[in-house]
Amino acid sequence: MNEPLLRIENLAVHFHVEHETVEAVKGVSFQVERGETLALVGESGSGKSASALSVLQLLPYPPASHPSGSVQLNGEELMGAPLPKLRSVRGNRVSMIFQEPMTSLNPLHSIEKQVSEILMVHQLMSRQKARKRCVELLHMVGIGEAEKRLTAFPHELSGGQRQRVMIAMALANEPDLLIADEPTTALDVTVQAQILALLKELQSQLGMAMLFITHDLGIVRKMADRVCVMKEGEIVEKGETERIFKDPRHAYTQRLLQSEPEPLETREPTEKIVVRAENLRVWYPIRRGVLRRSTDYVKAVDGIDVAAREGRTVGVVGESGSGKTTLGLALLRLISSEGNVYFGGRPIQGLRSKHMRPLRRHMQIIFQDPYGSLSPRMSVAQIIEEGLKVHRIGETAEERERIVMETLEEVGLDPETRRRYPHEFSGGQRQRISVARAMAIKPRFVVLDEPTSSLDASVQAQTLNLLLRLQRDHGLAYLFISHDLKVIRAVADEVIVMRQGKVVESGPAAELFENPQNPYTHELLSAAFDK
Amino acid sequence: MTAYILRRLGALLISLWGVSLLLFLMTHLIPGNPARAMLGERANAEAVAKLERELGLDRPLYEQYGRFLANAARLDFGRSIKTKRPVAQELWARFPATLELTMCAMVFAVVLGLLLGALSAARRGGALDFFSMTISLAGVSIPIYCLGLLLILLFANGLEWLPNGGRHSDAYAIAGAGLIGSLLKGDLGAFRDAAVHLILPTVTLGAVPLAIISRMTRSSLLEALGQDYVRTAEAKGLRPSVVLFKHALRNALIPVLTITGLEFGYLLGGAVMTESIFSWPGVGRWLWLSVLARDLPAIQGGVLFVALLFMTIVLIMDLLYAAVDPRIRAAA
Repeated sequence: MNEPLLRIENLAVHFHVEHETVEAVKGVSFQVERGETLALVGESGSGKSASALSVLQLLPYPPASHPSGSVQLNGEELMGAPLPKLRSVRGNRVSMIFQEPMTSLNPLHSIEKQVSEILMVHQLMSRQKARKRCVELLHMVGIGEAEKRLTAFPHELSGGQRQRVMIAMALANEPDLLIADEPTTALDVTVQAQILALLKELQSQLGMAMLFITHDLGIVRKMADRVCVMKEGEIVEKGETERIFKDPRHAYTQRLLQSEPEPLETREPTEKIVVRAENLRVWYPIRRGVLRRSTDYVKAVDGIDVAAREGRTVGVVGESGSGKTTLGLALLRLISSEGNVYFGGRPIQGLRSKHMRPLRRHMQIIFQDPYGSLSPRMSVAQIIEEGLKVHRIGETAEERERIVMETLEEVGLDPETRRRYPHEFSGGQRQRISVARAMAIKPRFVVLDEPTSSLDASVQAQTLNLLLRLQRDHGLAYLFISHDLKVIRAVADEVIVMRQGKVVESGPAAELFENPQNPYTHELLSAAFDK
Repeated sequence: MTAYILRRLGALLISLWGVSLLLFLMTHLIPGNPARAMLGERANAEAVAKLERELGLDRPLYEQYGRFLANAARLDFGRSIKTKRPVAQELWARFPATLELTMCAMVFAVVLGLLLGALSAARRGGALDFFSMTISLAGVSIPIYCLGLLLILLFANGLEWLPNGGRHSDAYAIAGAGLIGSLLKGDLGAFRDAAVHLILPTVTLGAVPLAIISRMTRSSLLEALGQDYVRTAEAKGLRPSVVLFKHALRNALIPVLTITGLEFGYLLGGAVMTESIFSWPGVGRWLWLSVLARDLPAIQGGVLFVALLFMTIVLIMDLLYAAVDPRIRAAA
């Protein structure tokens, strides 16, 4: 039998939104052989997820439609098949795991209910039998004390555990094909490495094929046998993984491979400190009982010393919940903290908000999400001008407009677009607007909280270059927060590694990346760089 | 969980105390002498002073409030000036009628509202969606008195299918203790009579909550249907009805619960209009008549009673959230 497991021919996906048709996928063809892993790689909007969801026809119809295409599983046509037939395939012969393990599990159903459901539907198991199998599955995906976990709800599990539950669910009926749509994107690097290892192990155990959707080339290299590179709804290049990485033929693939940020060259140390903190602490009380007395504390930031120098970057690395963002907010005094904070040598801890306000001009923050951090009801010009008005920069409206236009030009946006609203820009452009908003008032210290994490690889590289250029031109001190060690290596002169509110290791970036002393740093680095 | 319930109960008591204070101040600070208002403009000063003494209105304000609070804690709201009977007794006599009407209206609104909302969301943009959303828009737009009178005109006076008011026909006046009372007595004739009398007031009173609940269910369900876990449920190969009811609807219920609780509490205290139109012998109508008569003890007792009801229902709703949502249970 030479029939491939999955054969997709000339698949198109259109979305009809208010008299407009968006061609998300434009006639792609590929196949997945039994037991192999095929990666669909591309940036956001390239049509990789839409292609994957089309296999089980899980797109919202309407607005989605398939003007053309054939999806054959073992030679059997699924495109246009009646719903009962599709249902017998879904979760049974082909199953899926998704990006967000938190939102992909039903928050109101226990783990047992969610995993058992899929067994009861396809194998018509009794509740008792399903429970037994459920425990086996949880063991298989490496969840400890599986029996006790049966009654847990998703919010009681960590991100990694949730994704393990999703995998247990997807593998419950031992499918022929697992479609994994960015399954580790929302997870911390060390957890990411564990989940990928688990998937690989289970794949060889069960002999299933995988269709792996990702934007992360590191993961592709680790997981895939073959690769399809997607761009704007089309497959621009396909081939063996090794060949693609060694000898990329299409210009886009070449660009994608080159977009990995380069390590920063070592810069001269400087003694000009802009912001400094000593023994900084942010403790949140845990309250219990009728009277809500505080019984203990969550130590989000626990005794940290940090100094940000003019024209230099302190990189803060750590996994989610390690206290990175809290540290940034505490330095800017956007949340209350204990310990000393100095701006230009002057203690600012305990300053009233009236006295803090003039200093705000010199201390700015740029957030991760370029969608949530810009008001959708203000034009770009209004967003940037607001800070100028607050700090009385620019005497007249014309003067301020000139500053707005200059700043837009500086961050690489067309000043003529200043009257437009944020939704009219792409994610990368929006992040440039956020940068412009912070830079227009000429700050001296900027906290950058995962500023490139929600951007595509090529846009990420451009944004990092922009931030480095602005730093050089204006002598800015950066506190750069990221979970991505490659990004930190590309921008930071000094690095702080945080875990559970404490610094586990710190020092000059080159030294720390070359020769990490702490085992945790070691673990982070090996997860990120495959050392 | 126990700590959570105790804390909520504590909060309820504090709110109730706040209401009592506001109520006391409002009834005492509005201009005009209550004693004179009760006796009429032509009453002589001596009679007014006597009534003031009787009511305790000559005492300092804080003393009056202290006595009011102490009495209220024992559910003693004094005697109604109009009927001379204890206010608590008057309330107690009317409360079953109000409770019965409100319960029927809420059951009508919740059952129909959830059904219409869920079907509209499942068939978004279809004929049923259009139809039910138009009806519910009409429901919130038509003033209650208009709807009540229209229903009376059509079904009572025009078609003569249903009675135009009251809780029972004259023939059952003696048996009459409403739906539950007649059922307990085993009097099926009286039960049927009570049920027929309930239909129009129920529809009138339930129209606004029905409209609000169906719209809320629809929008909340549409949001839930767009969530990742619904896609997961579909990817498991579940039937669409299972996805809709087991996975999406329960998640959509939390905001619907909130609004249902608020509406229920609101109806219990605010069925004034409906009770008046249908001559329903309930608390709302009585309270309204007491306000017109400036019957101070009746107003104070009635409003405090309604506030207590409202808060109790909000408390029950808070506990229901915890039953529906394990995340709230954990936070509690």
